Amino acid sequence: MKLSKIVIYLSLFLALPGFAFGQARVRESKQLIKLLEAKKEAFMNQIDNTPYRGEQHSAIKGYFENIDELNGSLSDDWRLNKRFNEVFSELDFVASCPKLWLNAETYQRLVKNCTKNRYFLCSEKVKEYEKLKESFRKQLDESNRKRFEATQECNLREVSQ
Amino acid sequence: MKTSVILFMALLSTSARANPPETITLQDVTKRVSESNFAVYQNAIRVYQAKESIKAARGNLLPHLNLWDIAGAAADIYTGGGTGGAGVVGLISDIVPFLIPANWFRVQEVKLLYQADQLGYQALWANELMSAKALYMHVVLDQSLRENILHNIEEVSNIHKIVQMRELLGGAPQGSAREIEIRLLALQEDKRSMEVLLQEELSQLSFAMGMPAQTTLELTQIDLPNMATLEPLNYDDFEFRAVDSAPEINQYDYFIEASDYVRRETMYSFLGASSMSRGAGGGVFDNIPVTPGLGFGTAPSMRIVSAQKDILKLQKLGAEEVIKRQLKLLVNNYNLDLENYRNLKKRTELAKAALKQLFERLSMGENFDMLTLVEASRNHLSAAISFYSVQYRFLLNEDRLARLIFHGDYGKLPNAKEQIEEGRKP
Repeated sequence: MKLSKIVIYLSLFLALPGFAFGQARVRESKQLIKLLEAKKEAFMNQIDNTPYRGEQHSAIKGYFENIDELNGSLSDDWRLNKRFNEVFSELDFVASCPKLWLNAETYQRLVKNCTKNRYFLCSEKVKEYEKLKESFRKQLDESNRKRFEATQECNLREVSQ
Repeated sequence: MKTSVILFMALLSTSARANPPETITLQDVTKRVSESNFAVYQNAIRVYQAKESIKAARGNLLPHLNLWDIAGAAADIYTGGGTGGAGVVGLISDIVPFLIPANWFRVQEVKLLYQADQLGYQALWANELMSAKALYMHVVLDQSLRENILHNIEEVSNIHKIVQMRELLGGAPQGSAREIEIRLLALQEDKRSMEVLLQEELSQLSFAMGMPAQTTLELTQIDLPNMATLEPLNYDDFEFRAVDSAPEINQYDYFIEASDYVRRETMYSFLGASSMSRGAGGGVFDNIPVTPGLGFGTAPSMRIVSAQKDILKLQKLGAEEVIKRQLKLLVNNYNLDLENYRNLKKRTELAKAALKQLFERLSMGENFDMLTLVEASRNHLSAAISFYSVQYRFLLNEDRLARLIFHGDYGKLPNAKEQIEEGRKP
């Protein structure tokens, strides 16, 4: 009896760090989503503020770089990827996607604002948007991916350079 | 006689086959510099080395067999531990190198230095490409100038003949023909100098494209831009892009990040120092003294790393300022050429009209100072040269701008790995 109690306590004690790390990754996943949302908002506040100068360029670059960093974090850490997918599956895609991603119209407006005298003047990351979104899609698990593709608001194929 | 003609024709065709001129376009320059330029190819190999260094560093984290160390440790044990068991402890770096934190930091450093090397490769490739394209444009410009000089020589020779005749008949003052002959000789010197310059430029261009020395090049003309329809540029529009896309600046970010790992490596040196190489681009940190063990030298070593980081930050700032200044100068020159374009076009037209009028007066038998005609011909040549020069300078400035912001051809960086696999082996 005594031994079984010790085993149970020991198991709980050993499982505790794993649980704590799991919770930390859930928190991190939520923060990653919030960060992307904040970057998108900062970017949208500047999109029509032409001609672009340092402040606008930083906001634009910040959003695209954030997607790249998010993809990097998700591909480097499979545990974070797992928790992220759990958190992501709880989102209402119809409401969340417009807060996180650009639609075709906004993207084309951005590219137009970035182009002057034949020259593209924004960060090179802007041109890679399609690729960045594709990388993000690849980080999603099957059910999230299917939902993501089926939701019009998250539609990735809408944008073409 | 018939045999010798056949022999001569055969020799001619053989020599023509041995060294036929190779026709190239400006687009070919981009392709050839990317594929065959010696410096670019050499740098691609360097990037390849840096990439392989990552694999080497990762592999070195795994146990490896060092027979001499094992023999030394065995001898220690057998002889009663003459080195106090240090030989056995020393085996740790062979058997469990992953237990030495410095080795893990080295792997991270090698990864970052590889990224920096790739950016260095991009900068070098872009510079080589820009130089080769500039050479191409200079050759085409100089060929146009040579044509103009030849035309002017023909004009002045005709005038010289007329003046000689008039001098004989007493219609022109004595010594006029001599004055014109002096100018004619000067023009012939210019023509010869131009031909030598062209040969030199063509030789440099073929070298930039990694072609053999015996190659004869034939360049296709470039379409000159219609500068009248272009708008002037604004420096502020381009500043962000020039700084953001500059590999010369961005590679410092990787060096700075790598310096953090070098600091950690120094900090944990008491758990053993790493003997792994930092790879092809590790020279930046070669002067950092990292000694195994915790000693009085650890703290100064860490301060040296911090100071190295400060140096790198300053170098990054310096590179940023250089790029900004280059851009400012470039935009000013671009706008200046746009402003001058109309003036120069008008000047060329006026000089041509003045010369034409003088020739008409001459053909109608009018008597005037022949030196005026020579002067008008020289003015026409000078205006035409200025007009061509401004158009080519504009093209050059456009290309330099494209290099600064990595636009057009400069946005198509060749893949270093493909370069190695598909390219020519030295």
